[in-house]
Amino acid sequence: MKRAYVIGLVLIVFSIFILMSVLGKSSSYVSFNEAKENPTEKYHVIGKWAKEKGMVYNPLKDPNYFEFPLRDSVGNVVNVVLLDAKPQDFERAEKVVVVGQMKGNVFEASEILTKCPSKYNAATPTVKPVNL
Amino acid sequence: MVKEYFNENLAPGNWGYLFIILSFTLALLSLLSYIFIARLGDNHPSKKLWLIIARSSYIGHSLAVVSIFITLYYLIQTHQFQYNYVWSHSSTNLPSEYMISCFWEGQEGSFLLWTFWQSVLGIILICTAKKWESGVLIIIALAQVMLSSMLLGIETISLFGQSIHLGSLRIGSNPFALLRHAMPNIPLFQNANYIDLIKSGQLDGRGLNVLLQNYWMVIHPPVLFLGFASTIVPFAFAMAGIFRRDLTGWVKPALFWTALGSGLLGLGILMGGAWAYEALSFGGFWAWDPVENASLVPWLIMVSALHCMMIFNARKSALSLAFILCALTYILILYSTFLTRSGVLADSSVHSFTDLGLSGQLLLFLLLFVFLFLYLIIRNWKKIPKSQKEEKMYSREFWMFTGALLLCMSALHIITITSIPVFNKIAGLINDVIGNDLLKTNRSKPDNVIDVYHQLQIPFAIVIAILIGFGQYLRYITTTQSKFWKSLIIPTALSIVFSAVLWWLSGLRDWLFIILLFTSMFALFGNIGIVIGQLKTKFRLINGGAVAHIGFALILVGALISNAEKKAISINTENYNALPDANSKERRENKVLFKNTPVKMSDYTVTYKGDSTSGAHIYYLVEYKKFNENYTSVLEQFTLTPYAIFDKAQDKFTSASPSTKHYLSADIFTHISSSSRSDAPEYQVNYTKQEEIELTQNQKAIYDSIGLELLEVYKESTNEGKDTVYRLTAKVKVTDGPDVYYAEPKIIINGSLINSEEAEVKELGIKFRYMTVVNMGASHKFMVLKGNRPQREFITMKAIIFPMINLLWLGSILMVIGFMIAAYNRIKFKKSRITNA
Repeated sequence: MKRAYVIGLVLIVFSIFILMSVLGKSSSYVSFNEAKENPTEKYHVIGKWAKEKGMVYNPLKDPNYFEFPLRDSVGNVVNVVLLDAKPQDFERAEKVVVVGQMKGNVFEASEILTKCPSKYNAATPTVKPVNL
Repeated sequence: MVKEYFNENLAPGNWGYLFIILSFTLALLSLLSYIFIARLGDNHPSKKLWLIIARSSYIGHSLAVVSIFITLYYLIQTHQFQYNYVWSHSSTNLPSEYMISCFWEGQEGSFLLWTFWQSVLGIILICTAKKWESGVLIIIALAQVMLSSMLLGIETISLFGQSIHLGSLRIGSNPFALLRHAMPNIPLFQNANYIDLIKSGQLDGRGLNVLLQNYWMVIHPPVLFLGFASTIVPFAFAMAGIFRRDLTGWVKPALFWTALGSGLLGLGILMGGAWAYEALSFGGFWAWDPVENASLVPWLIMVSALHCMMIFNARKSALSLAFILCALTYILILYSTFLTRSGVLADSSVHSFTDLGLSGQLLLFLLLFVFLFLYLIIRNWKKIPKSQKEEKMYSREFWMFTGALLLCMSALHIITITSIPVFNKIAGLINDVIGNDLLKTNRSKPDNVIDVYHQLQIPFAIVIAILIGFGQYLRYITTTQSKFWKSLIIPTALSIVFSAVLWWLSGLRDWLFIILLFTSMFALFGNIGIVIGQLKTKFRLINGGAVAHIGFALILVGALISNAEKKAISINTENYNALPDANSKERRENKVLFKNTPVKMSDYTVTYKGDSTSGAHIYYLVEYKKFNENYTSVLEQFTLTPYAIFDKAQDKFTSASPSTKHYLSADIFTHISSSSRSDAPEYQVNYTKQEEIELTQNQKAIYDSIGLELLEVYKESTNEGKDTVYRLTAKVKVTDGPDVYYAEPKIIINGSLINSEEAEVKELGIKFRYMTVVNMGASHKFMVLKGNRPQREFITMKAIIFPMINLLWLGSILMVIGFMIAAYNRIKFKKSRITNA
């Protein structure tokens, strides 16, 4: 019976260790303000592509350089740089999550998550003109 | 508002909804009758009658579920877009082989699939479970009631003559709801005859997500949901044990189902990995995405439960843990359903269902089973027999138990990271209660999340591989030490030799990976030894467990090498303006390929040969050639066709799918990340000058250093109605240095109407308009338009070599076969006391 208690105790301690270590390593969703204050730290920023300011993806100049302005939840607009190709569904995304840190004036993203509307077409039925 | 719509064909929808109501009420009736039977006991005279009611209502419920399926399929097949589900998930141009996939794009359809499989398993159990029937079916019928209610679609209730809108507490979502109910305010529904627009093809469905239009997506969801459904059976047996006050007897019949379920769920998960590898662009089979984790974690717990049940079967210990783990498997399936379908993961996962407003109901489903289990287990905890003896170090059960616990720890680690969004919600609730912002509510997954998974999962895998390797050389109770150590000599020696060879071949550098490689090889050879050993005995029994272990070991080796040693060969060495960052140099994995210009990548000479369009798919032809040393002969040549899907409505590329060359020892994965069509607007020619030129047949002319030659003019006439239409087509040869193109401008004369059809040679930025015939047909006048030469066509692509990934697939197949053999052995050797099958 004694060994069962030892195993139980080890398990509980280990479980707590796992929980604490995961929570300790978790990153945070922040606005660009916090990211600017703390440029050594990696953060998650949720926002929307500031469409009116365009974006830069010119594969002939550099196929692994994609830059776009992201407007975060409090209205800051910061240029985000991804050293990879532009994600295929970027234009359709209604929300963009970027993971990375500030490098000077730009936010260098190591990962971009694009959340697309569940459908790629218009949200309402559209009637086509008659094809003859 | 229109009062009445015409020809809406509402009958199938009404029938469908009737079947939904039937499936719900019959499941409820079956549940109540089974509860009644359980309370009556085995020998009560009226038990027979109640059993007839319970069984027939359960079978009726299953038939109703099948009828819902058939009705919905009929509506999709016949394109009845007046139904919201059909409009949302299908379209007229959907290839027939993907019709079935419409079921799992939407939540309602996938709930239906799950309900269907669970009802099938219920019927099998009615036929086979014998004395366990009522107890097992209580749990299954309860789950069926909950699942059927997911389709009810009740949004308002009437109480005391008042109708109350349920809002977020709505019950279910009806797949037969009409589009005009889902979107009542759009102009379309001011037309009483809107059905005519559907029939004439003017109103099409929204269509199926292109990522689901893949053959893996036809088979992966049904298998995965069968796996999901099968996890309820061990749980149901465990609860039946409590209902019948037989806390030990349930393990034996449930073992078959745990082995089978582990195999099926494993197969479903691995098929999902195969789909991700074949169809998704991230380049890999596993991304630790929350949706993947949500099915991996219940699988780990189920395998852990399987081992505890085997320990109990042989040694009468570990029963309490078997109870907990059987229940936890199903509860985790419900939890992952909640995670993926409630919208909690919205910010952290690429692919989770959108919130249908069912999160309240899903949470209720989850909590109902959690509290039911807690209530039953706490009340009976004292009665569960616990082993009083100490397990010996040299006993199989001690190490099996350790392995089972390790699997649980591994699952705990994964589910904790996956649940971070849930912690935020809970922290938010606590903050609301205590009235300040004590707890952090904006946690996200760790930024280097893959490393965080690897940090603990690799050590877990190392230890588990060692346990797998020697476990079956130990006997239950106790083992002679010298014999045990002797039996490990051959497997250890072989694994040292083979892992050294693989290490050398693959070039692994990380020492943790090298240890894992060695221990996985130890697990592999250890279990090969076990299989051979048992085939030699008089039983000639194939040891399912050992086969599954071999498969698992191969999965570890394949995953390890293909992942750690994957290598992008499409490194861009020119044209980059990356940030001054050390890491950035390693990430230049996309390379530009101009059309017909070969590029060297590793051992291959890769050429982009052009594209071809088929429907909305644009296939890019990428040719790989391997030459001998002097480039005098081609050793090997193949063409890959990764594709992109072009959405005409939005004039955009919506998604791309890779193409992969499979070799025995490695795969070459090729993915298009952009192309001149999508990312180079200068691809369009801007015509700036024009000039009229007269060409005579077979006489060469030069315009802007481009050679022109009129080859022939042919005349056609067709009768359209009472008019005769004349069509003159000029065939012009256009030469630019060595390159030859042909243009065919036309004149079409229809009575007094004269039209001309231009012909363009885009590559040269030149366009011809056929003006008129002069000199009685001896020569012809053309308007020649000239603009900039457009950007040459190009693609940017990523090519990645995955070494030894076939070991992963081979291992996957073997592991599933192993589980199936283990399940089969449970039936075949039910009578005999074989404990190590």
